[in-house]
Amino acid sequence: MSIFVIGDRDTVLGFRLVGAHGTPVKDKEAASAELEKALQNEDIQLLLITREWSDALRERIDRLKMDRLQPIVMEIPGKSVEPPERSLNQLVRRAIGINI
Amino acid sequence: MADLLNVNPTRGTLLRLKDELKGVRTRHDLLDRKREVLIQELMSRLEKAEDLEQESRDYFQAAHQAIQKARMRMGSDRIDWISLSPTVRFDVDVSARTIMGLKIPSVEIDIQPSDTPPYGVSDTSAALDEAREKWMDVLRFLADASDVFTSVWRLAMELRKTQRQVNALESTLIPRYRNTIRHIESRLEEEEREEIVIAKKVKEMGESR
Repeated sequence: MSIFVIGDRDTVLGFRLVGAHGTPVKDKEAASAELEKALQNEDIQLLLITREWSDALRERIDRLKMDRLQPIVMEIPGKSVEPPERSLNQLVRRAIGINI
Repeated sequence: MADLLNVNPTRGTLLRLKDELKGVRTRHDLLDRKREVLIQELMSRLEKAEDLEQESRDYFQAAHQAIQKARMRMGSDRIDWISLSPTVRFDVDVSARTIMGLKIPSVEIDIQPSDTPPYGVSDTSAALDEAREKWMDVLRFLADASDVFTSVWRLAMELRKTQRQVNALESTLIPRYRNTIRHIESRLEEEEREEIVIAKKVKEMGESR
């Protein structure tokens, strides 16, 4: 059972060093194609995608994060380690906030 | 005019609406209970999730710096070639439990580093070792973080949905039922009063005859 990475060259290279698989992508179409392909692969348990591309495929990624456990889809920081667009804290505050 | 359900104001309708309102209230109570459980589960994970989110940046930053250094020393192709025979093996195991119908994952990553690097000693450089070490840290971090992040995400999304449903019941459906029931009751009372008046009149007319 393995880990698959979709992201920039360095991220994929780094993960390959420790035995994970991955494909570097350079545009949204490639990212989307790799994502759908990876979802078909039953060996992949954890699917990592750098934020650059998860942001580009936001709706699809959000659905997958909610619905899928095989694989678990997780967003990771890419080469230019930027803070997440929506932090967990914000997310939770918004979820609970309606009530307060 | 208050927001009313589109029904005929009859006694039968009144009974049916009262019955339905009971059902709506039960649904509301269940959703409210679900909301409470989701908040509890969320809160119990929030602190850890926030810590991990902070750590995430450090791990990835260090790992990226290390891989860039290694790439500059050795070139991407060489690293790629080396990574064809990885020095680590790991196994990912995902299990799930269900909270209020929501599947919450638990992820285990079993990492087994092999003792001897498969590439020749002449190939190694300090930069590469460093990079491998830093990405191992990322891998270990993901073992902790992937299920926490996923769980918090799911709980938060489900909580938002549940909260909306509770709000909709509280602010729209339940008041609509209550208003309609009140409306029908007053209509029926009015009709009853009219009937009494008519009955009286009829009786009077009968007596005066």
